[in-house]
Amino acid sequence: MEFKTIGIIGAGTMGIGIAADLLFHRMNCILVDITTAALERAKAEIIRIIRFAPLANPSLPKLNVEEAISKITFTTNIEDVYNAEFIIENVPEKWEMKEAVYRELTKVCKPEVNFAVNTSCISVTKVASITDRPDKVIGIHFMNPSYLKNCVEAIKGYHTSEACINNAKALLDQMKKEVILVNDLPGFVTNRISHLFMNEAAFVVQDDVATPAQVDEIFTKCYGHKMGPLETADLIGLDTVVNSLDILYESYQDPKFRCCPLLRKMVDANLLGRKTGKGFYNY
Amino acid sequence: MEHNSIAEKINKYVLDSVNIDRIDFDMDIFEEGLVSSLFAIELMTFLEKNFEIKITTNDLDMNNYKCINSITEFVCKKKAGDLG
Repeated sequence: MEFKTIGIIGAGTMGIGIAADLLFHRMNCILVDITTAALERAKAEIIRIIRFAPLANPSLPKLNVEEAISKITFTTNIEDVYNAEFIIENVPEKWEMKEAVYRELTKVCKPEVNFAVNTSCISVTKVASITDRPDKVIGIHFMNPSYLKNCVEAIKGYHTSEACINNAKALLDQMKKEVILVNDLPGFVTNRISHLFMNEAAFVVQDDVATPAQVDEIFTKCYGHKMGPLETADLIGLDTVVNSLDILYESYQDPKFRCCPLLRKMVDANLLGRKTGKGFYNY
Repeated sequence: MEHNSIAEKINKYVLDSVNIDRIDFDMDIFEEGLVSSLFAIELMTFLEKNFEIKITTNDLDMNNYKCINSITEFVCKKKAGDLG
């Protein structure tokens, strides 16, 4: 099956990157968010990505901006995804928001349509349980920014069928992405491990053991990682990191996931990282 | 805007972005791992906003952006209309 039209729920950082990625791979999308302002911001950002991302990733095609952007339907009405062949949901990591969206998607989408939960921590099995099609729900943890990454972590929920996995793999193959399929427990592989790194790195800064730059340099120069944990936290957004840590803590009831007070304080001060221009670094 | 002031403005932007104190104007900031490929997108946005130039698909050549000197040269040529 070749996918032509994909529904994207949520026009935040991830939704924007994935929408642009779909355009680069010749697919149409219906991008849904709750406010016109969010959609306008998304449109401007997608245009910027279409124009400039081929420099950062030379394998991406140089698209005609007007033609490409015309392949996206920007809408605040979730019912507009009724024609989508596959749904990728990217709303914030808040259960109440996910729940409300999936109740709507269940009503709106054709019965054969698969839902991909783009989550870093929330249980795919729990999301599936509130839909009418638990066998057609899979987790796809896209990396940020999607158009520069060629691999995703996919998560098999308790009821996820082989057919659903194959559909997701077909879509991701069209997007030229490799899939690493894992089982469903909160945080999966990526965030269960990476959030411990980011959280402990914040404790190291809080305890005045090292500066953010020193912490990151140890990871980049000594360990050969592409980015250090605090640069990564700034890129993800510290509010998202704190939300994910809270979900991990609540899910496992394990103190190793307790959120560093410095991270929470920075979120309260709106020092969220790249998206607000200041986090552990200035942007 | 003169060549030197363009170079200084670009230098300041790069330094602020990578949180270091100084940089060799010929250093390849991407090859040296000083910035990630994502930075290229931020850099082009900065150049358009601050130097009133319009970057086209023909300008998407990493040689234009690899170091402070090449970025400065690229901006000067764009402003002079040499690159369209």
